[in-house]
Amino acid sequence: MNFDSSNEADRFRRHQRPPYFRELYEKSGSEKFGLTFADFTAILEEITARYLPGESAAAESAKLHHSLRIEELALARACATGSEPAWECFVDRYRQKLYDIAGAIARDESAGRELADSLYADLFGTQNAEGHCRLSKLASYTGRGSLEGWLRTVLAQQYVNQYRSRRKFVAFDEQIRSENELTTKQTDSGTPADLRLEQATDAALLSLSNQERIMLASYYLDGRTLAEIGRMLALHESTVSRRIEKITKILRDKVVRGLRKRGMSKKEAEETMQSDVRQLDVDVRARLAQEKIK
Amino acid sequence: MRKISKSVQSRLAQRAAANTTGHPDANILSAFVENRLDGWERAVILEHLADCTECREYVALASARAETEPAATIEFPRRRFSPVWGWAAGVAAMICVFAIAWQVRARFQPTRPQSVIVSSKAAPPLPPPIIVEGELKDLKIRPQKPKRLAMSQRASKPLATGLPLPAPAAAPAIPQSPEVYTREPRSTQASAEDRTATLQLQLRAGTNMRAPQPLAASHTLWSINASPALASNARGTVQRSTDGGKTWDIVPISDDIDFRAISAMGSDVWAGGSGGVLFHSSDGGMHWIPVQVTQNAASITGTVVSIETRRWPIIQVTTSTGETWTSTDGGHNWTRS
Repeated sequence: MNFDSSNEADRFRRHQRPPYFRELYEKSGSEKFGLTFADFTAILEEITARYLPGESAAAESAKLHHSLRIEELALARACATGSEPAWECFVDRYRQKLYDIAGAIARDESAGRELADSLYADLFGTQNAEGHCRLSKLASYTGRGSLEGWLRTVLAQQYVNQYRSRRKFVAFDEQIRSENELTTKQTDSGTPADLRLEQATDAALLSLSNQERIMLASYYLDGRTLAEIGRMLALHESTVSRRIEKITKILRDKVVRGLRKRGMSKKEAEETMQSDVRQLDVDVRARLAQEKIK
Repeated sequence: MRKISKSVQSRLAQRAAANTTGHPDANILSAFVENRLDGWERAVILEHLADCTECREYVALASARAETEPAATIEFPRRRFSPVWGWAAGVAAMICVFAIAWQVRARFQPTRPQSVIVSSKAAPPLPPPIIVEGELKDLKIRPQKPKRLAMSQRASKPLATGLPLPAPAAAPAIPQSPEVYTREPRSTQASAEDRTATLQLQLRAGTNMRAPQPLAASHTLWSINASPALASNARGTVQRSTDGGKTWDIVPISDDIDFRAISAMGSDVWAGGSGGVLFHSSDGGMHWIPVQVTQNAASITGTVVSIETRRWPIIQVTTSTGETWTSTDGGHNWTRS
């Protein structure tokens, strides 16, 4: 739809504004933080544009808007504009939580405080180069989840980014070691068997559901505990344990079937699996003990 | 825990290294951790997390508990008992628990509200106090704790003094619970004061329902108050309990709908009723959105009598007219079976 001027476009947009916007505005308590109805509407329209395609149905937009954490969204966005009442409220509610969350992530009180303080500065924001507007991380909060949950995730990202170089160094060493081992194996046993094993393994992994692959990767690749995986996927620890047991049991059978489908006899397939001598010895107790020491 | 082969582990690592798709932002990841994403969004994030070590790390850290909370129990490999004995023991324990609960329930007044909507003066403000006067000759008053919804039918009967309670009015959207008084046999030990004293009682209906609050999905019980109606305009309502069923609050969704089915999966709650109406809340009942159950030009008819969400994102809705509608994407699109 074409408009002769931006004013017409604004008038059209205002006319198209859903009626429940006013109700959401009042429920959000934006007024006490200094956000006008126009500001609030602009925030909702920005969030709609981010998560829904251009011509989404009104019902879909309504569902999105009603699912947002409106009060926290108003608080966060008001903080991003520099509203003093909003900041007082934010500090009152979230300052100690920030320290607690950072401490849980870093598993060390002093490292946690350092992490929280560095994020706090980003949340408070800085003036941009021209000195006109404030650049606050809180401006990116969209209310899809709770503000506390968003702070947890942002802290987690900051923590990983801060300590990534140390982690990458360790992982790089392991990568080189594993590549050398694979090269040796190829030289010894010949390429075709490895290729079929690789293909059969890929097919077996693809047959798993995404959640099952997350469990497998989190446990055997990332070294996560069963409890951590349970929290990630909102499952009980014992459920995670049972499923990983089941997945690993059927995974081997699927790889063997895949090898047989690719021309190996049953004996050859079993021997190929057995000759994969660098089986990981995943010692649960040792790794969990290491996790505790960290 | 069972071991996996090096080939599996190396393929998992190679898939992670090859993953070049865009990463979801902190808003989506935190919503995922809190189980607030819709079916299709959650599926997309699960697919990404399966191959992205970085985002898995964010999610794992973001779902970490504070140090002050008790540490998670460490699961060590242990001998596996035959599952049959475990199931048998579990079933036996459940039978014992149910038997005890049934006995307790038979002895005491049930904690679940009766399927009766309390009738009182129509709407807020609170009705005027009801003054009851009379001799206590044959009446021993023992007020019970006011319940938000429970009301014994005896409350509508006149007291022994002959003074009737006000006639019940039309059922309000948010009923209020009156004090409940029962008549008990006169005790042989009754004092003179009991016989001759005149008691002036003020009955005031219960307080207004508190506004629904965001609740931890794991502690919330849901039910439908779909009783045989006392009045012709009584309608089934959605109820929620946050204290294990001791008290129940009505969840206001729509005054015009006779709700007959409810199903909850975490913070996702589905409620259906007359006119083929289906409502969905993704935040534990704080906000509700009507769901259009249609396929091309056809739409659902009858009263929704059953909602099945245990195989989420597959949702199945059954109506009084024998229709069965199925969604495989968490309620976005529907097909009639």
